[in-house]
Amino acid sequence: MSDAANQITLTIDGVDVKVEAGTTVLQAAERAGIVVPHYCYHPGIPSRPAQCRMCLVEIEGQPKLQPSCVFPAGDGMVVHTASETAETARKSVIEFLLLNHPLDCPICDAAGQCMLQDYAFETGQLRSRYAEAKLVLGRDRVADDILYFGDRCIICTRCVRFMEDIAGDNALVVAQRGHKAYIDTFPGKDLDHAFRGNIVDVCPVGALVHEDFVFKARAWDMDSSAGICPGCSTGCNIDINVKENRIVRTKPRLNPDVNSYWMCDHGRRCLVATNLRERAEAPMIRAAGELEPASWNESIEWVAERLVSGPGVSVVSAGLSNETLFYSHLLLEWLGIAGGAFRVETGEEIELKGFPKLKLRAERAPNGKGAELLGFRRTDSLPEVPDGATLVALGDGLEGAPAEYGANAGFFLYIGSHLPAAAHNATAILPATTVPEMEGTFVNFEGRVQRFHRALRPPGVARPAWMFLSRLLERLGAGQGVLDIRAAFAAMAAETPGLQDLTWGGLGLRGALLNGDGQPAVAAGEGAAWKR
Amino acid sequence: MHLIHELEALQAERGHLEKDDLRELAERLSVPLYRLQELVSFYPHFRTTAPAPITVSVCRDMSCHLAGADGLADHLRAALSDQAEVEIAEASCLGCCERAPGIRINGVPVRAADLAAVVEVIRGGGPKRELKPHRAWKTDPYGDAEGAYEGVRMALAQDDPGEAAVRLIGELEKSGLRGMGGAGFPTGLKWKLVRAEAATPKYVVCNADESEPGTFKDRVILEDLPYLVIEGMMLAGLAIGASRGIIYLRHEYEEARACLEEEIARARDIGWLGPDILGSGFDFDVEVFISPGGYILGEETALLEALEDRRGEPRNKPPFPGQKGLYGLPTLMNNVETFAHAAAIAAEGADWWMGRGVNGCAGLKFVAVSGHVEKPGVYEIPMGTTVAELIEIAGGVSGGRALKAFAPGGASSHFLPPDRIETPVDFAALAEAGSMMGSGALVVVAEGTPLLPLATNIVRFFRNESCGKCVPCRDGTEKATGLLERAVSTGEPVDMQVIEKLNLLLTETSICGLGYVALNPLLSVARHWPEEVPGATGNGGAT
Ligand SMILES: Cc1cc2nc3c(=O)[nH]c(=O)nc-3n(C[C@H](O)[C@H](O)[C@H](O)COP(=O)(O)O)c2cc1C
Ligand code: SF4
Ligand code: SF4
Ligand code: SF4
Ligand code: FES
Repeated sequence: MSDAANQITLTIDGVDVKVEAGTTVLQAAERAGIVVPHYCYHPGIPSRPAQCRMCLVEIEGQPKLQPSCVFPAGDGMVVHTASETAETARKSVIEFLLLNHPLDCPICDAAGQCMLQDYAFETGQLRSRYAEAKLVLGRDRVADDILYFGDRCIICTRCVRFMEDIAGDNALVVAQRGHKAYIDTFPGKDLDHAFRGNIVDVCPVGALVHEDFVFKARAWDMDSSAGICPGCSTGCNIDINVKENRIVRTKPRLNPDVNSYWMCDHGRRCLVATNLRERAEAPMIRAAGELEPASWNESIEWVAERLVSGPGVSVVSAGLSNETLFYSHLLLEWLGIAGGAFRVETGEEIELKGFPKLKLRAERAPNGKGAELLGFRRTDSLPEVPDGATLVALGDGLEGAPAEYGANAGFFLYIGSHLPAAAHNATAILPATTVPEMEGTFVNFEGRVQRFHRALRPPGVARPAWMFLSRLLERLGAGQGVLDIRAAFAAMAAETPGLQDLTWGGLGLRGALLNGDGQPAVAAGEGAAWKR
Repeated sequence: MHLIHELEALQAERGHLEKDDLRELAERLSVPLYRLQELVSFYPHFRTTAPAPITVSVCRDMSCHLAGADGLADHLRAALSDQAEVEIAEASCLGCCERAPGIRINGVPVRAADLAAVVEVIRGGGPKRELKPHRAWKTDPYGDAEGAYEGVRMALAQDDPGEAAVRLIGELEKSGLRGMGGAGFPTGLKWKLVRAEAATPKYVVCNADESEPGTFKDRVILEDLPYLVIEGMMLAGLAIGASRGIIYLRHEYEEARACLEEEIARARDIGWLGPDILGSGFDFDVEVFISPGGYILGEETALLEALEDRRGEPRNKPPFPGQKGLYGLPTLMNNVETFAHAAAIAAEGADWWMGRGVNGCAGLKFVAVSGHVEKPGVYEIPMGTTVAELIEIAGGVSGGRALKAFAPGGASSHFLPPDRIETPVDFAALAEAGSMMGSGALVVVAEGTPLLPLATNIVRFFRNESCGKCVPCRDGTEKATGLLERAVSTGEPVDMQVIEKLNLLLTETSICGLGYVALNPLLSVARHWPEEVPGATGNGGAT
């Protein structure tokens, strides 16, 4: 990556650190495991105004403290991040921020995630010593879904610079100057960029807040788990924040190879919206004319006894995980149903200018690539169901289907998480978990296999489809039931060109590109465009 | 054309900048709207509401405060309440401290004895601009524009331009000339460093933003000696290898602008400015950039930001302007007075210059004297003249009162008590006495003047003029102002411990000099006159 000539060595707090020339002192310190507090610097935003004065460090030979976020590391440089002068300076800056920053932590949405609060606790500045009235610039709105609390704002300009450097749409500016400064939009010009939600994430103090999130949950009573956004084929890495088993928000999770620190607003809404629909909660079988709930054992047994190989049609979904698609394919094979296909919604493609690899992609489903890899093809329409044929609907919500769709099938197996009208024509319904209720993998647009983890408890007795499909196959004598995602992944990887050599554990949190099969053989983590 | 100038032109045409006009302008220039918005809201010269037919700006800062300007705007408003056509606004220092309280009516400075006289002028539809006769100055080797540019001729006459440049820089180094803009950086060394930079093109910038309360020497130099300043810039161009010079002028200095533009036109006409000067192959031209306002623009990197059409927020240093200045290229920036003296030294030699000083000091100094003296104004003195002598030259303390305090270097310098009055005006001596040469502005305070309100007034100035880029200065000056205003209005003690901490923060962590100096005057008052600052013990503070 870099030749030795470009390497420099410096000493930070007594630790020798080797870095490439051009690295800042702050990054070099990070490399050595030393955190220098910072507010205005954001690793994903290239511009560095060094204006918060939080990251000042002592550098031998420099007459004054220097902002480590911009100061280039030099060969032989000796840096002290925790000397008395540096600490005193930092403490006073924090005290200063708290001064014009209302201490309304208990009601502020960033509480628990606010860098200001973190540093204030760390430096022992729980209460501001200054008694003057605070300057209040009021609360306003910078977009129709984002509120601005001017009295919390520390004018670090991260939001402004996100819009400028990354979104490439300067909808925000610092208005006025000095103690009267605040963040503003041009009168009458809205902040309507498709990636605007990121300004809320970069705001270090909770001055920018999503209106639909305001006061909804406190950061410390939310759980968080690592997911993949299902909104399009980019597969942004996200954190799913959950309170009382409901998704209250999703936030981007750093993956330099996919989405950097960002995600789009469509993606933010995707999972939150899934809270609302009618769910399939228990297996149902049509034993005596009507669909009746049954236990899993009973249902699997009942279905296995009635399924026969013969004429049939099927539809799957690009929203299903690879593991589910893999077992779906095995089942369809057993049934002798060829030509499995999936429908995908499409929409306008919108690029994030400052990180062009990240686009809200036209294909608005996370796993079209995985579905293809696992033997399915794209289609525009639901299959016609010949009278008396077998119909297997797997994960497709049957949108656009007439209410009587599937009623003429000989056997209609519906596997899904929600219950559209046509599902009520099924012979058997097997309730599947949604993506946030399970673990699994997707393959994104460029062939990156990425893991997602469970964020929610499923309703009723819904199960991951791969799990009960493998059991059904075992019962049919066509495989081995698996209960563990590692085993499911391994079974799939062993039989799928492109996935060989990949393991669940090996994917880690950054994912890995498909190997062989015409895919570029790039190792995990070598995102070409990424530079910190 | 610069965006800033487009905005100025639009405002000149329409009187103010309206949303729709801005939108149109953005479209016409194909620049995003936000670029205009951030400029309009940053620079005080731009207004978004229509001005009244008669607009009156009243200075409320240091020298004018000493002349009783507090409440003046309100008095004027009351006296003119029957005039719907008149708008009265308080403004930061207008650069005419010698006629304090400073008042400008529709941009023209007013000379008036008292409130009634001001009201009279306003009722009469505003003042007429008067042209002052130019005075002669000792640093000027020529006496008038006709004989100017001899130093450039001499340098160009030498065969080897590189050698000429080195010799010129050598003369400056020998003369010991230091920057007159505030920091006192050795001028010869600065030129040498910028000369050594490899990147091209390079630029020469003259800092004529002069906006610190009490400071107005550059205005007089620009009005009386524009050719000397231009010659200094040409010499700098020769020395560092630049062919473009920019004079960054505060917009209130309209007379100075006229003088500069007249001289630039004249010099171009006779071939002193432009391509291939005297057939030597040396190109150099100068343009005047009118500042859209604000004290902070005098800070060298904020000034560069403005020249690049951005909000005037200082940059982090290093890199310094000499390394990465205008458009990221090496830029030599000096104060107006520095360039004038540099031209004098080029023409007359370092020895001549060193012989101008007294008391073992070298050279000449322009000092703006304001506050409580009989004849406030700009005086050119031998470096080393004592403060006592200078006060005498300016007619002595006004009204025959005793001296209470003086600040030798403008609003940002420490106040000193009368027992330091024998201090020579010189970089080293003033620093040793506990203050500084600063911006070359002597402020005189007569007995009977309360000092806490004066110090509060100055801190408020820095608060108002802070660009707000960095936390310590944005919030710290606001904090200090709040504390002090409360102490002044209620007599409550000032929490000096907090002030000391604020000062530490401001000096240690601010990005630029405004933050470093903001509390200087207050600290010196608390140190030398603790009895005037409730809460002060007299041992803390200033160095
Ligand atoms: C807040 C602030 C305001 C300043 N204003 C001026 C000014 O009005 N004129 C000036 O020449 N220098 C001013 N300076 C100093 C300049 O930054 C710079 O040092 C100077 O122009 C260099 O010229 P010199 O070396 O000839 O002094 C200011 C500095 C600060 C920090
Ligand atoms: S709103 Fe937040 S991100 Fe934007 S400047 Fe203020 S504190 Fe920084
Ligand atoms: S770009 Fe796609 S994957 Fe990323 S957040 Fe948006 S919808 Fe989700
Ligand atoms: S010290 Fe004050 S004026 Fe200077 S950059 Fe910081 S906020 Fe702006
Ligand atoms: S992070 Fe370096 S100054 Fe803000």
